[in-house]
Amino acid sequence: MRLGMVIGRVVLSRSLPSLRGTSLLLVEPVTAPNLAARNGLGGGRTIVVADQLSPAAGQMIALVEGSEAANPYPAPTPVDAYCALIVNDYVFQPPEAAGSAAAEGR
Amino acid sequence: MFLARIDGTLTASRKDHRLAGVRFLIGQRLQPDGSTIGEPLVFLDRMGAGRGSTVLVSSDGTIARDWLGKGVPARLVVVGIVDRVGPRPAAEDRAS
Repeated sequence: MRLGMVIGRVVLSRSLPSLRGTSLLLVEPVTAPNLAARNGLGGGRTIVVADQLSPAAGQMIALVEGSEAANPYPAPTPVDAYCALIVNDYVFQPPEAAGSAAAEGR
Repeated sequence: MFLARIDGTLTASRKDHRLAGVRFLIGQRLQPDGSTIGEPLVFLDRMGAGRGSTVLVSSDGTIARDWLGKGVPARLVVVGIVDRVGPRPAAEDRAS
């Protein structure tokens, strides 16, 4: 799963019958620098994500990609990204950050 | 499968019900030189991998399905904790 910031939603006027009733989010995947900065920004290439959890704009989610994104739907559904969870909190401390802090201390 | 370094964890109270009780790790995919590539990823873990460890991740969703049920929306699972990564043995080493 990648992490993504919810930036909006998408409503279709026409769709395949198999997609009818599927809620769609507009999501910007979160890059490592933005995740470390906790700045609420995504920074990745925007994608559309199927959803059943209804996160608000500005919330961070984790999204499954690939054929597994359609697993929760009982009938075959043409989605390749799905909101699996809404993030409450996270720890993200790559060693680069620790390294630069140590370098500043020297 | 690919190698990744574990850089953190995350918690989520609202999630697909099949993911209840699962431990989530945040990691970054590793290149052979130890640098990271791509966006941070969330892995499902039941091996107890800790921050800083290098892990083997499988993107075969059948592992998650066998573990958590058919409808689970998950793909990336930690399937091993890496002890070491070395060069491919040379032909002469294998012959001896």
